[in-house]
Amino acid sequence: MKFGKNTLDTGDNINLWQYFFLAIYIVFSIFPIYWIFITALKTPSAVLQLPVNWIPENITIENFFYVFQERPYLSYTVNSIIAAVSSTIVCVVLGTPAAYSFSRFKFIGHRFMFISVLVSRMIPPIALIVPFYTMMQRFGLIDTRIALIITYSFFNLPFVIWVMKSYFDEIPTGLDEAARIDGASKWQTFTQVILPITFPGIAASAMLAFIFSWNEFVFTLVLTLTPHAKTLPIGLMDFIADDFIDWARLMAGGLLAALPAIIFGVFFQKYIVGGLTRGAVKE
Amino acid sequence: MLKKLFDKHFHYWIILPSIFLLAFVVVYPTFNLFYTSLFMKNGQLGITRFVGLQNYQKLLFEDSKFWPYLAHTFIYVGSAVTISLILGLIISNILNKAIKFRGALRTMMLLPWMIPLVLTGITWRWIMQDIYGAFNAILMQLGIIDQSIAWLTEANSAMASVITADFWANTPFVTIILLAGLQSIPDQLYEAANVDGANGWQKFWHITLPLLKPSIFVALVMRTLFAIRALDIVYALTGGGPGSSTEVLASYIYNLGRRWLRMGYGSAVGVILLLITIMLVFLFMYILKPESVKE
Repeated sequence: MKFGKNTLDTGDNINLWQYFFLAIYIVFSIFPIYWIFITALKTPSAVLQLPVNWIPENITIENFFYVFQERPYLSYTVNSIIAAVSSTIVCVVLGTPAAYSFSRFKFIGHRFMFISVLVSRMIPPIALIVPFYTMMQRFGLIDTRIALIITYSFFNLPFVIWVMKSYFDEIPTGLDEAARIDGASKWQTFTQVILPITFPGIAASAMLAFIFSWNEFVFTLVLTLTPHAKTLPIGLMDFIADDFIDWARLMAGGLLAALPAIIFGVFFQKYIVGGLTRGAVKE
Repeated sequence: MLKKLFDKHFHYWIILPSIFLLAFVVVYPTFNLFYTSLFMKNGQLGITRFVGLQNYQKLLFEDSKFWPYLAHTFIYVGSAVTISLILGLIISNILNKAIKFRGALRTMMLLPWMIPLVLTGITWRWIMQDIYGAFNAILMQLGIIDQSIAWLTEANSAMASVITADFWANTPFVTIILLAGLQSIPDQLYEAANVDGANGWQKFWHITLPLLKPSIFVALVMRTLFAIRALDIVYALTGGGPGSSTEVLASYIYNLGRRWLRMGYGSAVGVILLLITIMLVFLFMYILKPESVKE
């Protein structure tokens, strides 16, 4: 038996083997990201030099100019931002009140509708590419940003409802009742009393919905044809289609595509982790 | 008057917009999927003809691609999910201990999950590249191999690369879910076990694992859902090659539906994928019986 152990953990202090394992795993995790950075900062010819340079000698940001000037990355970036921001706003604005309703009221169809939301999170998007393609074709929305904004709500809306419901569930109903006794309408109770205290939840679900939309690949690949609506992840495949893959410039584009992930991951990790665990753990 | 009506049926008013949108983007396409799968619908030939269950008959009994692709899907999903679950268990247990820089470690660990999966595929394609790739360079500088190996042109190593890229990207998710589960286990249980003289392994086996079951269930289900639907990594890393050794059901649906415009047949494969997904979720529920999963 050991004495004087710390209080935080599961009983045992971390041992050398665990440090070793963790270190290897972190290197494994971080190396590809480092490699994206390094490749993007090398000149296209320096990438094709042997032996491989682990630390670049001549750093350049030329590749970023190239993707914006010679390739339609400006359109891709703009499309990515518009589609992801719009879809996030739509889903948070519609999903948050719905989640509040699921959390607070019992009504006819409550259980059925809620199970539908859960089931829709299990449908593999790839299975639905044919229906989505036909549907968007019928509305004449192929290769438009509107098609992307609508389509992204397929996974964002159920997610936002799910996460926000678990945030609302944590707030005692006594708060609602007190507001009602003071004469507030249900709408006022919701917007003025409950919403302000669920800000972390809204932030978390909005960030995750943004990341999901930004990273979306399958639907976007099917629904877009030209730089008019293509987003950054789809744009990356342009390079792969070339006979000779220009890795340095490709990775510069890749870094742009990874930028939101890096920003949110580094600065707002608390919200991301909070939203993620609530989005997954069922109560 | 209007205000009163709004207040009375408030719960419906605030839920209806979402339900309408979901009907449009989830319910309708799902029904349409089943419906289209009963047709021979070819966009290139411009034919639409009702064929009943013939698509399924052809798929299950005549298609020489379906069963190999299904096998690839199971190899891919099975290995990637197993590896990330084991890694996730180990890493989350380590991170749950009193460790310095936990926040920074969590950030570094989470990043691979957050970047676009297609970039994951591309990055690993670059790392595994035969001449200038980092993986060969590392192996050569360590003296493990003396000439570069073309990992992506051989069936087994190509599949291994796809699986590696997948668990690289998705293990963080499993870790985060399991870490949340670990943090909800009360310390007193471990203290009681210490008093009884239990060793670390016994504590893990008799306290941690049983109490972690609901989290393991959730991680397993979500993780499997991610892997089974994943087109991004395969598409970017190998393009299904070499030959068709890394083609999975997801890439088959894409090729059928979008590239060859065989809408009816592609929908039939989509239905099969959907059914497999549902069966797997029920299977996990049956095996793990997580009591906490109610709704």
